[in-house]
Amino acid sequence: MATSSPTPAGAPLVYEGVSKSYRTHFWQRPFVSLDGLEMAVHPGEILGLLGPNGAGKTTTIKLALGLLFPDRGEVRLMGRCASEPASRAEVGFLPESPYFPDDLTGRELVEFAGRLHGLESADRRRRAAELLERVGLSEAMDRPLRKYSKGMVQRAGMARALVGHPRFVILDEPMSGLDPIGRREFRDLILGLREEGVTVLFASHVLADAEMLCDRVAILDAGKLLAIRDLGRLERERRVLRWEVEVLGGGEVAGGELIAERGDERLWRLPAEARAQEIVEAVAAGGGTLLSLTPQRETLEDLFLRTLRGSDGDRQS
Amino acid sequence: MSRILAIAHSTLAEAIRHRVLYLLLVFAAALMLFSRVLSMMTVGDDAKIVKDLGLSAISVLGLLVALFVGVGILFREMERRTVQVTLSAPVARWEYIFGKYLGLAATITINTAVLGLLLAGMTLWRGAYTHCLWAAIFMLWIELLFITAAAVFFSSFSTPIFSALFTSAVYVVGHLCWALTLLEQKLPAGSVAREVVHGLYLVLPDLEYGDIRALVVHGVPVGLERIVWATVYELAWAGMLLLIAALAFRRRDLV
Ligand SMILES: Nc1ncnc2c1ncn2[C@@H]1O[C@H](COP(=O)(O)OP(=O)(O)O)[C@@H](O)[C@H]1O
Ligand SMILES: [Mg+2]
Repeated sequence: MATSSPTPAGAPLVYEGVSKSYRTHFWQRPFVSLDGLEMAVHPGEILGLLGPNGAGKTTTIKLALGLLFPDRGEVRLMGRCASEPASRAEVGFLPESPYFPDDLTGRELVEFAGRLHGLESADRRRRAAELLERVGLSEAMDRPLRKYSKGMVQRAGMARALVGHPRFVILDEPMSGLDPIGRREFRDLILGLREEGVTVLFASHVLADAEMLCDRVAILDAGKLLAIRDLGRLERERRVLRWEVEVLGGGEVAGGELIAERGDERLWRLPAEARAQEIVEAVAAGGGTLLSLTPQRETLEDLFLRTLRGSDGDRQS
Repeated sequence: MSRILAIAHSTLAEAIRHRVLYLLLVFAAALMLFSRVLSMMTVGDDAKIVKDLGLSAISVLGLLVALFVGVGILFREMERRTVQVTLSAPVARWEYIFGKYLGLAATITINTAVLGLLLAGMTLWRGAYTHCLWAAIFMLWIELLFITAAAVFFSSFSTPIFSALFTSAVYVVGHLCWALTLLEQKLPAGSVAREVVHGLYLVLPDLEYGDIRALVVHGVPVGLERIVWATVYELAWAGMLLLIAALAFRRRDLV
């Protein structure tokens, strides 16, 4: 089901047949957490890596950052082998449930990352303050992380990810721990990055996050890439569940069920099987005027679940 | 280099925030003061007690700092996965190992300097100060740089408890393995056993050669040559352990 589009030139991140398994104890059979991943992140896009918990999203990301080494296949980051430190020079990373040294202050955390990215002392001080302000931590930046809420740590982690002027940003569950306002701010921030030409890969198990942000989504389950699609195309794949038809005047619409009526205006519901053309004809036959005809599609969530269920079927057969 | 220094700097900062460090410092200082009291109560050459106990305190304190602070910091980094945060920047694995080592070595250096000054002050007070004391302190410092490298080495692949045990074992074996040369002389020339003992001695780090405490305490002059060679020998060992640690860490999965 996974459609592998050709790898575009200058792709920030490319996986070529990458497999990875964990061996918890040497006498146990290794657990396959990524199986033959073929995927490329296109320059300038926001790609959402979606899948339920344990799907292999974090594993995919750690392979990109050279924290894990693939058992098979190759991972290329910014045109280099992902095990080369230089590949990470223009890459920013926000880890899942950020594990930062909690006796550092927000400012120290960001400045230290700036130092590792080779920023000069004055530059990194200015950049750290600027970014911490951008994520809404200007008040708290001199307090130790231990006194931050989860959402504040997440914000500090975002500032940290951006300190090295990255051209590619990898975010692992960036929205977790944020309140609705925080999610909105992060969303705007991520969209702002795209405006600046920064490529973004983010992992999430929450579909709504992706729906608002992504150009494309990759759906991962049990270590397998099930689909990678433009969000627009995914939108069109959503099944029509029923039709809602607004009619002015006239009588019955054949095959329709009346759900609401206000004055002369009636709202009819028709089953998914009906064709738009048939509905139009049925309305005309009843003598009414068609005001609107809306397909009610399944939510992206439903499509997502259906894709996952489909893969279950594949595995059983 | 700037990345190594950045990591070293943050490691030193973390070590300085470690409470255990101050506990150990106070403990060592108390031991020195106690030795001064002890020396007042004993007849005979009491200045030796101050020097002997003081130098031993520096050595043991350094070992404990390497064990608790050194192994502790490295373990915490792995356990809490802060190492992954550092290594997601353009930092090579070996730079991380060397940075961590440099930071811990700086911690040990500060400790040794503080306690060394304290000991020097104590011997001045007793009127028994000689410049040779600094030679002994210097050699203890070099030995601790080696012990710290051993702590980093074991931590790069082992659990903290085993790392601490192995590091202590290196300290003990390093001070005892000279006895193998005695054993070697007792064994018949050309025998397999003698070759084995000789070989064993060669692959173990001998810390006794560089340990000039007893000589300094008893006022026996120590040749510069011995100090230079012992320094080269122990630092070469430290460098080798760090190199192996860096190699072992190079392809390790950070889960
Ligand atoms: N350190 C580990 N040891 C053993 N198994 C692991 C380890 N980390 C992850 N896994 C397993 O690999 C699979 C993928 O994990 P992960 O990549 O963290 O998933 P996700 O980020 O999508 O939730 C999971 O089934 C998980 O149980
Ligand atoms: Mg995850």
